[in-house]
This record gives sequence, C-alpha cells and structure tokens, in this order.
Amino acid sequence: MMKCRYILFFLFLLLFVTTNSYAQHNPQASSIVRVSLVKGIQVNQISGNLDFGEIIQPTTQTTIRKSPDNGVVFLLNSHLNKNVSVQYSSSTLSNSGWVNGYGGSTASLTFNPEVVHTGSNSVFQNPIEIISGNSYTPPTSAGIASMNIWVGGSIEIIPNQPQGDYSGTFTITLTY
Amino acid sequence: MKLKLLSICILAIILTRDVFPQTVSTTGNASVNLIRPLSITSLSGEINFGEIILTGAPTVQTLSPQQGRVFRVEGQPSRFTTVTFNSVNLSNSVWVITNGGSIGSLVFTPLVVHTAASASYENPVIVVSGNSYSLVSSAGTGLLYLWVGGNINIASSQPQGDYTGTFNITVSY
Repeated sequence: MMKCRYILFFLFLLLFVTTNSYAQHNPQASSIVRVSLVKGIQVNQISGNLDFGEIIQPTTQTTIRKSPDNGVVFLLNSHLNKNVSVQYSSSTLSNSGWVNGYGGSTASLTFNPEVVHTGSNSVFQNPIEIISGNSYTPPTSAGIASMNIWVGGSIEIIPNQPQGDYSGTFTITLTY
Repeated sequence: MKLKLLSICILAIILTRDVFPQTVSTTGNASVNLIRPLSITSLSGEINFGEIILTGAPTVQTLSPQQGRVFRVEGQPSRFTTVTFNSVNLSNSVWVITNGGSIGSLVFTPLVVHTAASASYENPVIVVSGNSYSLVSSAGTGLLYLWVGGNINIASSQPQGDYTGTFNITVSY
C-alpha cells in the first residue's frame, strides 16, 4: 500500500513538472499615445476705435494719422509658447452710403494701418511693430499667453476729395 | 548429508539464475513538437493624433490603423494566437505641472486590424481583443501584422495641453 502511494506521488510529481515545462508565453509590446490639445485663438476688442473724426476738406493733399495708442486695442489670447501669424491689409473707405442719402459724388479713401503690440502689457509701453505676414509668440503671464495689439493708421486725402461720411472695415487675421 | 544437500541447492540456484534471464524489449514512438516562440515587434509609425485646436465644441478625433502603429507577430505557422488590448487613459498632468492650467484626461479607444502575413495595408480584418487569429506561414515562420489606430473623444470644456498614455498589446498561444 505504501509502495503504491509512493508510485502515485511520483507520477503526480512527474505530471506537475511536465506541465510547467510548457508554461504560456505572452509577449507584449507597447506604444505611447499622444495628442496635443491647443487652446484656440481668441481675440477681443478691448477699447478705442478707428474714427478719424471730422476733417474740413483740405485744399491740398493731406495725410491724417491716428497713432496706435489712440486707435483700437485688441487682446489676443492663445496657446502657450505657440507662434501666431498676424495678417492685415489696407482698407478702402467709401462715402457711397452717405451719397445715397444726401447726393454728391461717390469716392473712396484708403486707410493704411499701423499695427503694434505691447506683449501682455495693457499699457502702451515699448510698442513693437507688427508686420503683416509675420509670426509672433504671445508672452506668457500667470499661465496665460496674451498679447495686446494696438491699431492706428493714416488716411490720405486729395484736394477736392468729395465730401461725405466715409466708412470701411479693417480686418486683422490671426492664425496658428 | 546435509552439507551435500546444501551444496546441491546452492549449485542449483547459481545455474538456474543464468538459465532463465528476463530480457524483454519493445518499441514505441518518441516525439516532441518544438514550437517557435511567440514574439511581437513594433515596426513603424506612432499613435500620435498631432495638434488639435480646441473650439469649445465636443469632437471625436480618429486615427486610422493605416496611419497608426504597426506590429509584427512571429510564431509557429498555422498556430492561433490570442491578441489582447484595452483602452488607454491619457493625461496632461505632466504638461500642467510645467505650464499651469487644469488637469484633464482623455480615453483612447484602440482600433486594431490585421493584414495576415502582408506587411502592406491590404484587406485589413478587424481584431477583437481576446479573440484568436491564425499565424500565416511565410517561409517557415508564422506571421501576423497588426495595425493600431483608434479614436479619442474631446469634451467641450477639455483642458488644453499635451496628453500622453501607454497602449499595450499582448499576444499568447
């Protein structure tokens, strides 16, 4: 009986050993998954305007200028440490709306913008020219990337420029 | 007399021991199946969704398996291998520690296909985690190419930043 038990034990042990000889093989591979979520560009008009006011028709060719610190201010918020491309161009102002109401001659003026930025400073200090088509990195302050953009410009008035209220739209485009 | 009888007995024992030796032999087949070990290797590509600009609207971004990462499984020809993988949690915590902002998480849901023994993206077959797929014989090696893409759901108020996580894929006999 004892001998039989030993035989059974030996057979069991043999079975255990042979089972472990063919243990499962589970190789694994890995890959890093990445995605960068970028804060969308936000731009808001903070203050000011591009109203040159009333100008008496000049008798000679005259350039009227509005400095950027007297113009309109925009605040740009964007993703940290990311370049923003700035684009703008001259605008055409027309008096056609006024002429439709009052008569006279339709004419146009060209508004030539001057654009500067003061970084995250909301005070007009140390302005830096913004050239259309160039890229700028809004500085980071308190974890936020922002840039104050100041827009002024000039209008050239020729002698005998038709009277009336001239208006047009200035567009500034910001892209990553 | 007794001594004589004892001598006869001893002699008988010695002689009979050599007259009836037991030698029995038989034959049986011995065999062993050597199985090629399973391996999985990352070949090319990456699971990178790139830059996504937040618009404030919820969106689902998808990376096709063809544009994702490719793995090659090698093993015993015609043997089945079980492929296992799971969704992955991505976090921007490391980016937030450096840059500030809010910590957020995303779930990467993998989409895995195989192209059998073809290294080209042809006739992809969806791979379901936990299912088994045959290793196709190619020059004596069983092959299975796995292509991994997937998608992520971006919430309307998802915090900005660089999100990362680790995708694991396991194969087994």
